[in-house]
Amino acid sequence: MVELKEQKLLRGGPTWPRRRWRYFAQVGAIVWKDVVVEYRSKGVVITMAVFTLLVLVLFNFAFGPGAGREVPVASGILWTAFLFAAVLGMNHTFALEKEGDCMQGLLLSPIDRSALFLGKMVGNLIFLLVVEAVSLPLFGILYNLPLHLVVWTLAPIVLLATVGLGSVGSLFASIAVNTKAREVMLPLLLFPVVVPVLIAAVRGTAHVLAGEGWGGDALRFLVVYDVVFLVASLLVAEYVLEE
Amino acid sequence: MSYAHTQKPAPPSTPLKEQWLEVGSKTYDFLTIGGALVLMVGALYLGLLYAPTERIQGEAYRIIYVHVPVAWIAFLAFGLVGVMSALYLWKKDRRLDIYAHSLAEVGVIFCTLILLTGPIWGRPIWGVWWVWDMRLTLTLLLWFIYVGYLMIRAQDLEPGRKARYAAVLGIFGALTIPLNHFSVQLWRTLHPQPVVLTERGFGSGLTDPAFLIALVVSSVAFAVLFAAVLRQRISLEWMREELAQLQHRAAEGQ
Repeated sequence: MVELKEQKLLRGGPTWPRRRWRYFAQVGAIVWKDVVVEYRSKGVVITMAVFTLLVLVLFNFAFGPGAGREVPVASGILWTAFLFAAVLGMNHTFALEKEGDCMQGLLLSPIDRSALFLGKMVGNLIFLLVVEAVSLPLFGILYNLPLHLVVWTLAPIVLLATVGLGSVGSLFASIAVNTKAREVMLPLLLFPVVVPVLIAAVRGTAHVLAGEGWGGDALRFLVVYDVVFLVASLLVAEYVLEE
Repeated sequence: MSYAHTQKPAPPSTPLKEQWLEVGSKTYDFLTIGGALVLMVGALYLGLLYAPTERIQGEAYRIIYVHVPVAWIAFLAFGLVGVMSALYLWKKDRRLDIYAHSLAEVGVIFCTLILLTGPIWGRPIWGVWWVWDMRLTLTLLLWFIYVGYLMIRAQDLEPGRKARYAAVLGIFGALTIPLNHFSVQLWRTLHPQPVVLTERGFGSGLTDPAFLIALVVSSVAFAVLFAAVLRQRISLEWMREELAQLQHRAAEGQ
């Protein structure tokens, strides 16, 4: 029996798989928009990559040329550089939405609030991962570390830590962007909450760079952190993005 | 700071005076402030004179009668900020927002006390004021998180939006408390292991019952002090709210 359109509406719109598909289509649309904007303006990724490189070089001056030989120091330098770059980048992508009231437009569009947030977050994650993919080989070269470890073995730790950083960071950036001192506000709110990620990432990275494999503790901790904060950010996103 | 335009301005018919936590209730004031005074004197006596000197640490250990109760209460306050924040996002009740704000402020004071009393003990026992131990570091981070929370509270934002932002930060701060404990277990710590709530039962880590009596009394004293200070803070916020409403009404009347 063919169901009438009206009957379908009475039952509460499209069925579950269809709704889920629509949700991900919405997320995809937001991500696509951010990627296209970035591809045309090249505002965030290049700035972040150059900034990361600069921080890596600066630390080399700060600690003297021998600093990279100690693996824990090198991994600490790497993650500090990524953290700073991430704050710059995430501040920028949300500040863009603030300009010309783009956020207002996005909120008016018939999109689920959590889909909007997830889209922005995935966009941020893509930018962060691109920056990391570019800077990791350079880090390996500058600090004389075995390149196969830096590029391949490190990948799961980088991925997990970036997800943790990006989920909390995107949420807090969407809060900080509405305050007067937005550039200072984001690191102030974000750093204390992501320090566990930083610690786990630095420990894991040091393990990998010393040629001892992943160090299961760090990976497990990062997985727990990611799950907790990813779910929490998606749950509260609608309250942050409310007008 | 004006809350005159929030979602639920209390209508004039709501008698604010009847809500025991907000304004009024002399009995509560008398019991908490008086009780805190009496209990504090008792805790001082028990902690400084009654409890025996510890065998290895000497007299320096006596600071646990401040450090430990204060730490329990600070963590309780921060946990409650998380609960109140989550409830606020759900119920959108102004009172929950005020509770969360007041709990965070009092929690930050107690957390500051942890961070002040800890080094006083650490200096004679460890030989240094501060070590970058996991538990110390994460308590310091918790302090930073809630100072950030109070900074968002101090921002010039539209009240309803500010309450929502603060609630989100409150929830995230509370989420880091269990992660705090995870990481303490994962990475070694110099901090003394728990002696009161251990897997071997209540108070089993303490060799003399006098230690436990002193600790329990000082914990109750600090808990009552916490209740007294918290109510004063909530009261203050409520009066500000009332003032804002009155000003709003006066401005409309002209």
